[in-house]
Amino acid sequence: MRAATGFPGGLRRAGIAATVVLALALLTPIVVTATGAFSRAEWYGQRSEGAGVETVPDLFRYVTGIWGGALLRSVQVVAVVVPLALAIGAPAAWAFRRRPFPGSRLLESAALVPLSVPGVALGFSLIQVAGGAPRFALLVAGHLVYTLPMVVKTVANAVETFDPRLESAARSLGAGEWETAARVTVPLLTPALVLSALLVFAVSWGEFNVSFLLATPLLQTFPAALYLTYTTNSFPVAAAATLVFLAPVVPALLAIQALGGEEFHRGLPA
Amino acid sequence: MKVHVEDVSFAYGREPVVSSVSMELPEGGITVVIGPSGSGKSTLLQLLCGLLHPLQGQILFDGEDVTGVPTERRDVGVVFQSYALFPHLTVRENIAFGLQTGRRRFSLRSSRRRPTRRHLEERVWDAAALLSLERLLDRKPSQLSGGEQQRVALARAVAPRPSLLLLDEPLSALDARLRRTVRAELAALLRKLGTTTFYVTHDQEEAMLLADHLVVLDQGRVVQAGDPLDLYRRPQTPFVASFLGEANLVEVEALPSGPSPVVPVRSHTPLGSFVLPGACQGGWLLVRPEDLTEDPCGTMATVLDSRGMGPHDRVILLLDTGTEVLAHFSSETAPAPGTKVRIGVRTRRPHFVAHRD
Repeated sequence: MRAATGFPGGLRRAGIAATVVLALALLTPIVVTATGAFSRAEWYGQRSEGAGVETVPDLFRYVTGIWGGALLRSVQVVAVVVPLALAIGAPAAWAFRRRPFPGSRLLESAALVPLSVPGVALGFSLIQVAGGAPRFALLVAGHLVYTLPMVVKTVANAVETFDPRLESAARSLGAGEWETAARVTVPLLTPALVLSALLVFAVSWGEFNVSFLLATPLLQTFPAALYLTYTTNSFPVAAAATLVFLAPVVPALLAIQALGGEEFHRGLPA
Repeated sequence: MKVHVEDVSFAYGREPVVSSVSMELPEGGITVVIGPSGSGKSTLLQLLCGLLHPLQGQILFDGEDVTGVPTERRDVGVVFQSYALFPHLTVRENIAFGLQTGRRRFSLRSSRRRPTRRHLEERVWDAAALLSLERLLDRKPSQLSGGEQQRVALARAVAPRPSLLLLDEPLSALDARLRRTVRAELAALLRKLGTTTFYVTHDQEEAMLLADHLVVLDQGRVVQAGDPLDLYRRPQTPFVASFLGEANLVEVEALPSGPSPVVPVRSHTPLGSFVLPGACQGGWLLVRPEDLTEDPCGTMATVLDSRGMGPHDRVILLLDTGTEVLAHFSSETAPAPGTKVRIGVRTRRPHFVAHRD
């Protein structure tokens, strides 16, 4: 009997092949980096002294010792950007779908444009517009421009999947607008909110273009610092730093994967 | 609670949906609004519960103007067509929802106060018991059948004891067999509750079974309102006649009036001659299928089709004058297709639907 997926055999084999290619493309850099971090091999003809690390605890101690400041800065940026992106993006997404106004569809589509604006252009325009503002604020603003579209898109899609009558029902049962939001809308959007928080985290944590442009010696995010490491230090050192950088991203991506599957649909009306 | 709708209009953009509708919902009675899809009946329900606001006109609850009052302060209970049960809450939490909302104390009516925990549990239990949901309280809506979901929706709406209960085609999502049993139960329950009820449907049988007061809506306007049986027997327009059950409408031409406009005149129709009101401008005679019977002195007709429906036989007849009529003969007495029969009208003075300008 044919497998339950219902795909014809040829298509299924193609699907498996595509999955393998994708997995290789995604995993190869990580594997190379990981082996690099613990290696003393030559790289691009440059004699590598290695990071002087043999074990994982060594690695973390080494990297946090050198790049602790940048690491802390990245944590600070993420800690501000994630809640801010949700606080702005989620209500906007809800409003786009539940309280549409003339031009709201256009505005919603326009919200996706920043995704394809080069970071350099964005960074310079931020400096032009608000050069006098504190650098940290500029950095946060830059990250918001890249992450808000994801929040809007994810939450808007989730808003679309639940019956607007649920909100009407809450109102008819005596709940005001805020109580309806707290007791019905937000709980039903929770999977989408968690998903977009993870997406924002992953993007903001790894954002390089804007961060690099806006970086000052005292205000460097981890990816910007990584770049300097790659250009000035040996590969194993940079690779070690990259591993530390990836450490929180991998769990986040795994969580996104899990949410994208079953969890995301839990609690949605049958 | 007495509800008055006064000259209410509503439009989506430029498309009028409800056009100067006025009606009165009798206190403690069931008002059924019936109409085809797009007649504005659901919109009217949303205007009553405040999910939409009229462009014109007033809505009065016990004489108090609530036109601008938001839904949460109107003291209404709504059963939606899709039920709209909160999927993230259990049946118990769904029913309790309306007993725990904050605005309760600001509501129009003092009967809706925030109850204590014990009181809350009692009220949830009462509502659950009313709809035999005691054993389903810990389930999630997704674990319930359609009929059970419908009962939860009703329990949730009645638990806060609203002054006005609004039901938007609450049975349309159920299959035909279930709908029939639920319909009778629902009628009994709504009468027991004695809450002023506004019930929207497009199902004529549902309307006849439930309504104390029946309102027929078409294209956003009230076509006729009144006692359901009266509307069935004495519709004022061909639309009402054919929307409430099956109808033979026999065209009657304008007659020369008799010696005086109040003197009735006799009109000859394909189904026989009948006495009509004086000064007749022409119109239709309403002959319900059950009013037609085999009659040795009646009009000649040929049976075109006949089908046993169980309670009656459904017979399509072609009169010798060329008019087709539908008759319901008592069960299993219908002649076979092709047979010639003589038929007559049971009532002496069938209802006359006059032309309207």
